[in-house]
Amino acid sequence: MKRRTFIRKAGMAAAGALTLPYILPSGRLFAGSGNRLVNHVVFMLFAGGVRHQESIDQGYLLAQGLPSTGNVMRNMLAGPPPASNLVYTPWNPILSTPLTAKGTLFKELRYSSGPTGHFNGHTAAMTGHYTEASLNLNINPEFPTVFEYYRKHSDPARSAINCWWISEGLGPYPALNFSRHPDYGPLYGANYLRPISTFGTHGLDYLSAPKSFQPDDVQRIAVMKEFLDANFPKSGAEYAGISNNPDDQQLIKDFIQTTLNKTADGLIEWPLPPGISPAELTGDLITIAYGWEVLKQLRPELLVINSFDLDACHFNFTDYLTFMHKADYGVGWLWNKIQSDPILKDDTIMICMPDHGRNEKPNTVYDQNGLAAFDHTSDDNSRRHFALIVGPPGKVRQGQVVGGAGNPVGETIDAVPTIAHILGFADSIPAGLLPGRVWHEAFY
Amino acid sequence: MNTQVFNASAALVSGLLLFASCKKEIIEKQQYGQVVYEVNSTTLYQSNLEKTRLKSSEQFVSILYSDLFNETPSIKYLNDLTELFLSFGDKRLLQQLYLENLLQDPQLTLPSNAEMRSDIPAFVTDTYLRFYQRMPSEYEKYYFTQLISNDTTITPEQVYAAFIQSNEYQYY
Repeated sequence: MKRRTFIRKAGMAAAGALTLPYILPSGRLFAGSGNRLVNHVVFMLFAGGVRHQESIDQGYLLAQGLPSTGNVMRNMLAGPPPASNLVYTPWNPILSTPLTAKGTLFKELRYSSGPTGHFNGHTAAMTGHYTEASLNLNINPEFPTVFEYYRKHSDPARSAINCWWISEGLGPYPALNFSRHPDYGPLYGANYLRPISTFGTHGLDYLSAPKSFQPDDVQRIAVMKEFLDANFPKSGAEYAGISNNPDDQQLIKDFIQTTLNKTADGLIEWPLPPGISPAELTGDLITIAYGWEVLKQLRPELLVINSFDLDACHFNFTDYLTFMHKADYGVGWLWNKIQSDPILKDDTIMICMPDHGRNEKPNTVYDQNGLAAFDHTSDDNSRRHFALIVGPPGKVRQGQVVGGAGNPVGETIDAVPTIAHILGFADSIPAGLLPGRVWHEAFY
Repeated sequence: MNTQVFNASAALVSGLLLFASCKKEIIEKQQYGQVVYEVNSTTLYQSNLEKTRLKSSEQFVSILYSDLFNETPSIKYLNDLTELFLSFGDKRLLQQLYLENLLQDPQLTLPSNAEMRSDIPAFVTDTYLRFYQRMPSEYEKYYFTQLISNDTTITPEQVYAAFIQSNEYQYY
């Protein structure tokens, strides 16, 4: 695209777009279904493989043989920060009280079965089934995703615009918006988005200056297309992907246009502390920022978003701590944004859960600070992680801790039935499809 | 339309008409049920029934770019677009958005309204050849000729948009 031309015009376009009223596709025109706790769920997959030692246990550099402990996740967890041997630049928390005070922490969660690989972890978290898959990852999962359960079993059934899967990276992750299950599949899938591509250079270069057809033009094109389609024996139903209805397609196109304009104009709000340069942004923080744009502009009922950068732990422990610290800031920032929105504020529950843990013993790689790196190869330590459920008082139990060292409570595969419980469609899911259980301990 | 493209297409159409009247003028090769006319090496489908496979996003981008600009996109362009398509779930929506951006590209030369209306049957045939790589049936040609003749607000751009968004264009 002609970026200079675009940037010149973008200000006016963005201003116009931002003042237009939205018909919100949140499903609020629908009658409520089931016994919902709230109408919005944000499932934050705090992924990349998080060791219990540096997160929940706040061990900081203990595993490196250094006597420095402290909490690098001060937005999510309570506890003082490290006081010595700082290998990262601390950011002041954005939240005045940590998220543990606003919900229930499952302190010792188990990833019980299957390899502790990222795609396996994501799949288990999003389908409620552990998977042994280690080859041919680029296919949709065997069991239905949480999106498909949500869309099929909500009453009335929801359109795709109401649920989004937003990932930091590509690889196999785009395949997690629907399954291969014969009773579900793309018909019930979620919208998928990787913001760094869609709203990055490629999006600005190739998507940001569309021709705007007038309604009469659209009608004429539709008439011709209808004739052409009637003369071709295939319907396009074989197309292997999700499809939004025409009205929702227009809303999503408007969303993409507005967001590209905001990006070009420097109007995207970033999860950064005051005075911190955008050069400090990570892929995780960029993803979270655009996740907020989706929430704010489209108000989906179910949003699943991941962070991933701290997987740098395979080769750089210092970066791992830094990325963990920044991703924690991003989670706090997102919760803060949700609380600043009058519609989402008291109507959203957020679940934060890593995909899995990491090994107890280091590998043989050392970083610039002489700190050892850690892989995740299915040892018992890599099966330890946690879940934090935060939401409105009266709906979510506040300041509660469930389980602990030596007393694991809950599993990765419980996240899907728990989301189904929150959004009121758990009872409509056919018996036997989900082996996990609802984290009832977290709710009133 | 780009004059060269239009001329090339016109030559192809003329050749095909010539083929219909005098087979000796054009060499025809049968290849797995498809006809290869050696006017410009374009492989034509004899029927849309031969199109059974969905284009991948990469194929869609590459073919659309070639169909519109009469040249193949660069490797970087294809890589960029492939990443963009991977990064979004609703591919048909993204195709639409991508097409709407291409139609704004200053490098794109479309036939003018006057060119289209100066010989509507030829335009219809050319459009079928350009996007569907097949001749229109008599009915298809009649329908579009009548439609365009009777509605002076239809533009070549709209016709192209309809073809590109049609189900047949998703297949090869």
